Amino acid sequence: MGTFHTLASAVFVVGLAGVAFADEFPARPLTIVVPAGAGGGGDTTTRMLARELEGELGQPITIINQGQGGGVVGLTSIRNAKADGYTVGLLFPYAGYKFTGQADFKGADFTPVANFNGDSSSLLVAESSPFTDLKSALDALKADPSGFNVHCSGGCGSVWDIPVAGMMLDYGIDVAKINWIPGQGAASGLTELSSGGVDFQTASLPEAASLMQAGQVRALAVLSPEPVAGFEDVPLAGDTVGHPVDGGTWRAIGGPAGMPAEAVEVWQEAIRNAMNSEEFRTSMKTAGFGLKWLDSAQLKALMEQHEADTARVMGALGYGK
Amino acid sequence: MVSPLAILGQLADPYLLLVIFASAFYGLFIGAVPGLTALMASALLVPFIIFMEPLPAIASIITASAMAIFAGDIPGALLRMPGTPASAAYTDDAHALTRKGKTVVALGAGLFASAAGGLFSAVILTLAAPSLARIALSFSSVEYFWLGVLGLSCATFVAGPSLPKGLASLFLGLTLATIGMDPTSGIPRFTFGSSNLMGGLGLIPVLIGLFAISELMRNANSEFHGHADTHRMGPIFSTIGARLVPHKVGILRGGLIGTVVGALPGAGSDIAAWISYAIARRGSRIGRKDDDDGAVERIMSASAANNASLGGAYIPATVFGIPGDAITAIVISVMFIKGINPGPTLFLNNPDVIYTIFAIFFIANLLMVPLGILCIRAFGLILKLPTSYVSPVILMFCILGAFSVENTLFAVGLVALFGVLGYLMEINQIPLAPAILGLILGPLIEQTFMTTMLKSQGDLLIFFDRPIGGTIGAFTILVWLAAIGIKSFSGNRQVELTPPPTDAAAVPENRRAS
Amino acid sequence: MKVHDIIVGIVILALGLCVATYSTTLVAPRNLNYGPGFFPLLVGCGLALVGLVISLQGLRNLRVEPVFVLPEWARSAQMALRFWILPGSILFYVFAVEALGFLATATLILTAAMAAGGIHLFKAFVAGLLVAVATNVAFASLLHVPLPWGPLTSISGWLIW
Repeated sequence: MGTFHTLASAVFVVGLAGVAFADEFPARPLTIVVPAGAGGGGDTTTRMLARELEGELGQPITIINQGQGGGVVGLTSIRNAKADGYTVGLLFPYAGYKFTGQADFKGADFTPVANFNGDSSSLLVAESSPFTDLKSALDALKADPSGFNVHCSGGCGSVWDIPVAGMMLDYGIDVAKINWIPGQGAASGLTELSSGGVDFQTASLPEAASLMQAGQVRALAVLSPEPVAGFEDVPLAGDTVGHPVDGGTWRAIGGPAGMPAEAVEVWQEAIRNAMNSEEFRTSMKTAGFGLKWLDSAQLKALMEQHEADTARVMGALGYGK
Repeated sequence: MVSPLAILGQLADPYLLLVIFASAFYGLFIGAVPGLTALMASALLVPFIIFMEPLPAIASIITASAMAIFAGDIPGALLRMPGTPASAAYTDDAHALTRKGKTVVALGAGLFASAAGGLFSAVILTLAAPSLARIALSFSSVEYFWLGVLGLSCATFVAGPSLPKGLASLFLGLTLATIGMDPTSGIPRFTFGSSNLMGGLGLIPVLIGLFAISELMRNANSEFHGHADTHRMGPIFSTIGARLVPHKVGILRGGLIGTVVGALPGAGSDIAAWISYAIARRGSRIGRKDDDDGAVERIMSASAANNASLGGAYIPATVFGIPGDAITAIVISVMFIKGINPGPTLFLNNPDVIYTIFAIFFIANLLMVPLGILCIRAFGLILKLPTSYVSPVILMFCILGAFSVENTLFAVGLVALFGVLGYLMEINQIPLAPAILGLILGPLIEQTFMTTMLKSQGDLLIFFDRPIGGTIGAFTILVWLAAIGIKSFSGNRQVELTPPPTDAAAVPENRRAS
Repeated sequence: MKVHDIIVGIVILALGLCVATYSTTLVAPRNLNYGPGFFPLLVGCGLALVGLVISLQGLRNLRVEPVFVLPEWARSAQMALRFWILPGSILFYVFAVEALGFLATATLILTAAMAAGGIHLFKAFVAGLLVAVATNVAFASLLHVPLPWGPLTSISGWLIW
């Protein structure tokens, strides 16, 4: 009986609290839609962030994985979600879908909240490759673009190959003539690369780390303005092409268009605090993910930049004609 | 080298053992319920294990997935609804034994072969992981293409009495596989502007619809077939003990095929089961026969293979951090989060961790025998309940299974659609199994073909250019020629002498209906 | 709904032709040797071919087999209900679960399906409710499957453990 009483009064008190603060965001559980399957990079980073956010926001967070169609299904769910701030989602480079006719996502479809992760793309070769530095590789590609196969680590026109193609475009290479090879994720590309099926691969450094340690592949350059932690000996692409190169993936939280301003504010501050927590920083570092903070306004600018860059490179690659 | 004592010390942790036991029961439950699969069991564990210590986290997935793959045999044999895609290859054989009152033989064969296959792959994993991984890494898209075609050749073996109808089912599966984004160019196909169709048809909802819902619909006005005889199952140990020896070759062959197929990235337990089943069906003296012994041989080969593939998948996963299937893809990401970076350095720096993980494989597969028997008995008890109670609950789990894997209501709708389609196919004697095979292998074959063509810029000779790829290719073509030869020869004879078995079974049904 | 093999073959043939025709409308982007329509074209042709073979084989026993066999469920309203409630209740779930929440939808489906199977309505409701609560606790509360809570959304924070 005693237990029952305690329990009943606890429920009563909690119930009162719920009523009293009902108008304060968030008053009930939150949902984050992840347009990626369980266990992938997008899922892992979001789950680590969500664990911190649950503490910050004081409500449980449900993660919904919708990785079908390379993320199109999940992004559509975010775009069509009720804009009450209770459902947000993971945003990542999305502009490429437009050029392959899969979907047409625009910055205006989403409310940017905050960016929390960024990883740079890199250009990899197999150990047996004749190329030991970026310059010789780029020169060879310039001389005979159709003679080489480059693996995209996923669908082509996506996060890893577009920045590399952009760099090649600036170097004066006819990127449309290169054989861009699509595949299922970075792992399939690494097998192709080490078995001699392709000449180059574009991927992030952490994805290739174990094969780099095994001496099966090496990175010619990373597309980052400063050295990547843990991979300090990988040369920066900017040193070869003469101007800083920064390209790769970014992961951010965003909601459907028209999310209430106070909800955006609450989410943004919670993410800012989560990113400052020692636990989150350590777990991201251990798992090999880079931290990159951008607030709502900066994220909006990044998304606009991303759409412009993608349009330029995809146009040069011959898509959307 | 690492001392066995250090491993024992790691294993003696009561918390770890508790996690293993809990995951074992969880895996058996998920696998045994039609509609819930091994992949789903692993995916649903992620939110929990992501915050556990590394060893219990990985032990949890290993145990749960091994148990779920075996438990998928149980509803396959008793209800003709494979619990997981990996059991689909031999569901008909196992169910046929059940209908003859030999449930113990069907399930016991699956159980012991599963454990044996799992142990076999654990031995290989422990002894040869690094060298095997190196072989797997020399596979490019050419080799995968031929492997896919080899898997597709299995369709001719599982086609049933009518080859054209089996092929029709296969082509239907391949057609369904093309819905969604083209894997090469990303261009949408057959999507008619729907973003749900853009994601393609998930394997799990289609499987649940075709096998589970269609079976429920067919039995809507009758009791389940397996219902009557589950209470007099008899002792499993003594029945199967005597049968293990004559089938040892089949089990070993299944274990080997499973380990190798599992070690190849992208080819999982379902493909391993199909290939092993097909080889047992055509390639072995016992497995070729249409009697009980032949069925047991086929069940044992295929079930050894699907459990062995789980171990095989850990070879590239632990050695190079490349997932062998969707379950190990989850394991790898969990390892990364825990700071255990899978790769060759793991063998140098943390050998005790890696060998403890291998040791967990042995524990899980040994534990499978007693817990599996328990699970078979418990499932038999559940089936004693009236069908009117059981069938709506299975229906509910089918909905939950499709939703938990895909997280869309669209997937739930697909279950209903494919339930009706499966019912129509089955009643018109079009086998369901080849359609699932097509759906699994379609994307692999198309993608590897296209990738290879992109690399060679349209030169078809590339398929025979590489030593390993060319060899598998030549072998595949030989298998095809042999298969067509045998099929047309024995097929003609069969038609003349006796009507095919399913036709005979269908006749009284038709009469009853009209 | 068993129909004669000739009809089965024609349906498959027609489906194959549709697939093949559709796939020719898919154009290859950029400089690909084989476009997205190549594989579906092969599959569609294969489908049409086996459909044709099935029809031709069906011609051989044109008189032996009935053209159309009435399905078992068409014999009584009760049987039809038991049959169609299965796909019907899945569709009901798809359209109702967001509004009603999983708990209520599952209870309704289970009760209806059990009652259709001949179980007394009250017993069916009790059994249905128990199973619905158990699955809701197991999948939503413990395994964190994002099942909709419907009217319970505002207090769902306390129901997710």
